[in-house]
Amino acid sequence: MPQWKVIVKVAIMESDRDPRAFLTDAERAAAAPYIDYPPTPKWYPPAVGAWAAAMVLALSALSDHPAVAGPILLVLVAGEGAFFAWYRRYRQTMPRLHGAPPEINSAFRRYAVGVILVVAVCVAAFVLAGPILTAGVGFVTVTVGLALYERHYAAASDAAQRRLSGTG
Amino acid sequence: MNAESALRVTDLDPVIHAPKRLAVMAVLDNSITTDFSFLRSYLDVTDSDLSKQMSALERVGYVAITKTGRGRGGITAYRITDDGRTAYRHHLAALKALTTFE
Repeated sequence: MPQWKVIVKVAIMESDRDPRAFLTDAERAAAAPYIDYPPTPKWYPPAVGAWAAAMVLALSALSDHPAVAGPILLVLVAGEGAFFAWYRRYRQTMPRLHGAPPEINSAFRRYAVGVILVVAVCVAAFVLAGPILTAGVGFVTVTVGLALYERHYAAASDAAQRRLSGTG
Repeated sequence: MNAESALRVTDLDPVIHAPKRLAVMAVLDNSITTDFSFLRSYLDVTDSDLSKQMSALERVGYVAITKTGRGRGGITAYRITDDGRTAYRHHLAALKALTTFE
């Protein structure tokens, strides 16, 4: 082992700091990408709801009016890409799906269940009532679902912060 | 400190063991990419201090840097490399082992 490494390791061995303190610091830092984030803008849920409604209408019109629906779909997909790029920049970090604190994992699971429910409701609406009503249903369910998810995520984030700071 | 924990101490990575760099590695291990400004805010350090810490991690190949734009609007983002992730997890395992054998 090089001499500098030996010196550093001896310093570590002689450090008064409990290894548990390093582990606690690492756990808090590992949670940071999930729980240290700027407030989500109020317009986010209705904007995504409107985007989902527009997707429903564009997809349902694609076979009959491809010249109109095709470019609209491209614009919607590009808009989604632009939104993700903006959000990444706004949040300053992009957390991985794996490795979240347990509180946040609970929010992720609810999100997955919510997506399945929204898709099921929209498919049922499409079969029973056609694209226009489905667009309305999509707007409402996506907007409400996202607003609920954002509220649950914020509560989960607060709970994780309290636990990691030792006050929860 | 017994022989077992002494062995574990030699498993600790001196580059990662510094508290600020340990925190940086923990953040990067759980993110796809993270901006310089996020790390500076989380660690509550100056630009020059963070730059120094990141240079130390970059020098040993534990993090990779991406720079987009120039001047005030420019963004410096970091991601952990495969070597960095391996070293970080090895370091965490050594720390956990130390707490076990104390």
